[in-house]
Amino acid sequence: MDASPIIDAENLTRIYRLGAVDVAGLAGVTFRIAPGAFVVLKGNSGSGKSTLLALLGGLDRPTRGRLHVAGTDVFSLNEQELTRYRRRVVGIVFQSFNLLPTLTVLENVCLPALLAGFPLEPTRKKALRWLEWLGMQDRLRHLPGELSGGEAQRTAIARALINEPPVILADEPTGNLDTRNGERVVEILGTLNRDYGRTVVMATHSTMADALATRQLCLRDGLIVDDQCHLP
Amino acid sequence: MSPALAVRLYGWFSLRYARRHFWRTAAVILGLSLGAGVFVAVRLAVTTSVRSFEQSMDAVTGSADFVVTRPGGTVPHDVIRDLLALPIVKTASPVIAVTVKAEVPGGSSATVRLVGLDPVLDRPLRPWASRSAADGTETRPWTALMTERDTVFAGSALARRLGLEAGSRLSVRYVDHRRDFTVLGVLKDEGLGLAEGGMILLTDLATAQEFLGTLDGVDRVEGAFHEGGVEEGMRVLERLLGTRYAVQLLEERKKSGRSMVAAYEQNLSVLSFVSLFVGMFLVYSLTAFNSVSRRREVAVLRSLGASSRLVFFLFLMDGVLLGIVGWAVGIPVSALFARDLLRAVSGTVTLLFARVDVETVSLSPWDVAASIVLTAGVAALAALQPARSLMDVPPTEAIRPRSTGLKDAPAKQPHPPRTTRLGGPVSCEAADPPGGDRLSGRLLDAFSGTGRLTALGLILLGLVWPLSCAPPVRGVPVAGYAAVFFLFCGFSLLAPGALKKVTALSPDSVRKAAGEPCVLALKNLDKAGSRIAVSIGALVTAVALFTALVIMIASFRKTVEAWVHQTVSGDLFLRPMLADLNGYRDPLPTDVVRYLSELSDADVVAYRRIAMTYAGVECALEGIDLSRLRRHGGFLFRKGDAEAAYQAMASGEGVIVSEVFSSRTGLRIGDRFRTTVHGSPMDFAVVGIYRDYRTQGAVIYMDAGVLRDRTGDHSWSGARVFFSGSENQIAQKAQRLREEILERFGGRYDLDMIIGRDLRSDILNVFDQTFAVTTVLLLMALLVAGLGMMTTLTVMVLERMGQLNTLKAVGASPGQIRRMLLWEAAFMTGVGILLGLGCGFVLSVILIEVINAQSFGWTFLYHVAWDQLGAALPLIAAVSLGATVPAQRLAFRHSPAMLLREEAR
Repeated sequence: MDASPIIDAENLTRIYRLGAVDVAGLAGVTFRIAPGAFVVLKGNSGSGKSTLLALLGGLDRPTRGRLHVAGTDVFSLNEQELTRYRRRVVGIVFQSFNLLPTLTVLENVCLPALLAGFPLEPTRKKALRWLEWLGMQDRLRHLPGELSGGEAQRTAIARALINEPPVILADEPTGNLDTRNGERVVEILGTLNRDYGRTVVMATHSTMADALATRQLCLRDGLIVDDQCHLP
Repeated sequence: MSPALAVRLYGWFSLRYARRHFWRTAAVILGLSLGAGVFVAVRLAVTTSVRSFEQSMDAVTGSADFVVTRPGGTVPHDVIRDLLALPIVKTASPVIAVTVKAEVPGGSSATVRLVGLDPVLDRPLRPWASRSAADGTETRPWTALMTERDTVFAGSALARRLGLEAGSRLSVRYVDHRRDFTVLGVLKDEGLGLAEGGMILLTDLATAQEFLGTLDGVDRVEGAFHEGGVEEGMRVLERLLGTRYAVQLLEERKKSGRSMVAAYEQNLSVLSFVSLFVGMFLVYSLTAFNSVSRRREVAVLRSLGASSRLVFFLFLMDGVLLGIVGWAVGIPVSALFARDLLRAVSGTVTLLFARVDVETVSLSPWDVAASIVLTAGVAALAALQPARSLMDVPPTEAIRPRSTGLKDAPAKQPHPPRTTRLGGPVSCEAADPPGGDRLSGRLLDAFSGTGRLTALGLILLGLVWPLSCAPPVRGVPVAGYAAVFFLFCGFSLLAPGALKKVTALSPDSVRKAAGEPCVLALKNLDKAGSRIAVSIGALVTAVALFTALVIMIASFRKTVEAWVHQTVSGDLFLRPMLADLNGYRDPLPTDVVRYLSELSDADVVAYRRIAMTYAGVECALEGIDLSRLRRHGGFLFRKGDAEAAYQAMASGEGVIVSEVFSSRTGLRIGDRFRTTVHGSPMDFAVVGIYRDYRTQGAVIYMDAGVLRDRTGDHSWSGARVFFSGSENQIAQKAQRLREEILERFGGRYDLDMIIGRDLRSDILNVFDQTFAVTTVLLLMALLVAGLGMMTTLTVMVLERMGQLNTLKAVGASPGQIRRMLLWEAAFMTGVGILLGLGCGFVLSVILIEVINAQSFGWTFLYHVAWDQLGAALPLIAAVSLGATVPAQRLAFRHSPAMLLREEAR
């Protein structure tokens, strides 16, 4: 493994309580991810994929463990710092797109940059570039409800890229798409990884990304049960 | 984050959402605007009237420090001379003031205050000037009052009403005095020109004395001390004048007047605030619903880097903006009836306190600013809790599409884990849209646990009684208002618990009794939980207010009826013209008294009424022929033994005082009532407290014979005449006597005569008119609550569109779905009405025993108007059920297939 990983996780543990029973979402996983890797997380429902992504994205805090992303000790951050981390370090693509329904495509994409304090005009130009690259230039003024699933997910990808984070996290990004659109999304993530040097961590059930992945982590019951490194 | 960006995000995130859910937002704005409109209109009307009252009071007082009067008589000129000789007195001015009838040759007439003063001595006390004529010169100099006979200056309102200008002639009448005057000019609207709302005639003291035939004295002497000499000056005056005269600080009199009006103003404002308070429930309902249904969006926003403070700002702004828009829409609403309201309120102020004459609402920037800040503030307060609850939304919710029932393990669980309850053959939950279960779970989180709310409600209710017992602050029942507020909040907080009890009914027995739609309705209500309890809270408030006011007004009316028939007994009432407005300063002419004394077929009860001030309270001492009065009626005793009291009065040992007098002066049974009348000291025990609802209700009663003996004053202020026979015969006899007196004395004297039956009916009419404003406020509060129910039911349908369509898909008929919605409304309405009734009964006791007693000094016999409540409550229920119509229409607007597809996405 590379000496300076972009993601360095040690003994990551997340325990929930279900009724009177403690359930381990993650039961203590340790791994490192090199910059520029395309990592696919695999596993059945409830295996811990989404929990891991939530921790990597700074959306949740672990019960135990340590996590460094892009040199930041994620779990030592306070709420404000964690907000800044989500703005600058990671971009997240969700299975159900999670576009804000009252914002147009362009506004949805601009939003994270505006929240991060970037001025509107340069942000708009940058958003237009990414949307054009993703083939969304004709849908700028549309609301999410007027988009197809593929278009919505491409918008979500543009939104994840607007602040140029080094790490893209994708949670089942093809889960709500048909095969053609799913393949297109995976292709875009592959291009971002290959041509733009983004580290991609993608949780998925499908095999669409297998060919692009530099590494596959298989999870079961909150533990990594298989770690395969391979070059495409 | 820059404010500009925050505003931009607000536009993107919130305004567009509001536009998207236009009708939902519009309904809340409409409700709030009604509340704000009523509040603003009442405030404008009441502040305009009160301002006019205060201006009038200040104008009359001017810069005078003290006033000297002689209860039962006039102040002789020697006193003025003695006062002016005192080094500590800067100036002293004799004043005569009577309310008279003024007529112009065309036939128009008006009741007006004639003020006679010494223009030279009075000048340092009260500024006044006449208006300039069109050419810019003053019409006539004020000195003309002294040099030209029978001249007056007219107030501007009077000049407008009678078309007076410099040189106009008018005739003035008062009891047996008539005289023509020439108008020298019209007073400017400043200083004394503002007194009595401008319905004033100003004349020279000597002219007034000549006109009234009181050359030996004046009504009062007002004066000012040299700077800083008030305390010492009062001591000097009391030493000089002894107990023969009453000396009072005018500041005290003003304070007493202000506190009376303040109580009226506060009561009306608080009542109008209830509409705004009910509107607050609507804002809470909407923002709480938004906060729950948009939780996922908030999580996404947080995951993209939005701070929790930004989220708080976005949702708090929802409340603020609803308040501002509601206020803006409410202004035209208030304009619709502000004028009528002003007429009603100024009429009541005139009736209860002092004459005000206002025709247009005066709008001060302060009033506008205060109303907008209050409306926006109330709406922001309503949005505070929902906005606050969203600050804790973890961004991780953006990644978890469904509820897993999982929680953090390390945290201690305060409640047992939530479980999805299924029951009956048709499961509502099975048809939930994605995230539906979590939605209701989050709702419970947002509103806290039912048990906690019930406990908090009970604590607040526990505080109601101790607060009710607290004394008023400067005549305003502050703690009483707090008790009312706690009562509303307490009962509203009981709503979730009460609803829980209802939804816990056994499904099998409900099914047997009312069918499957009713079972489904109960389950839906159980699931919707605390949010709908907020709407029930609005209904509780409105129904409580309705119930309490119906009871209070009915109790008041019933008591007034009893008082009217027992205390205001008499078949013909006779007194000098405008005697009540003039404090009975002049007695009935002696030949009228002689004529009445000689009536053979009637029983005449004479009385002598003397206006005075006791412990700073304006009041009247009345001597009445007790033995005769008791043949036809008596007093409505609140405290004390009536028989013992009558005996003590007849023997000259005691007096009875009105409830208002007792509460204002603090004099109770057993205390001594000490005063000086006609220069004679008096000292009696208070032997009873009776109910009295006349406008100047602070009265002390004693036996007329005792008063005559002590003062030597045998004059009559007025008389009540009683006849025997049937009601019609009595009316005919009274009418005949009235005509006879008019024929005999009408050419010489102006007398007020009114048939007893008409007087009693007039009193009750005035009563009903006074409470007309209250009824309007009441209806508005109910309307706002109805809107609340409509919003809630519509939102409930919107929220469960997927479920409703699934029900249709599995075979539920439109009729069954309609019945289900109707049952939901019925249960909500039922709980709301029941709690509202409970709250209303308690509130009515507080209103009668605390608010009214502390504000106005009177209480009533408790009387529940079951007939009115029985008729109105089904009507409220019907309106609430009618509020389901929009929800029902919405439920059937789209085809089930389309909606199910949308839910799946």
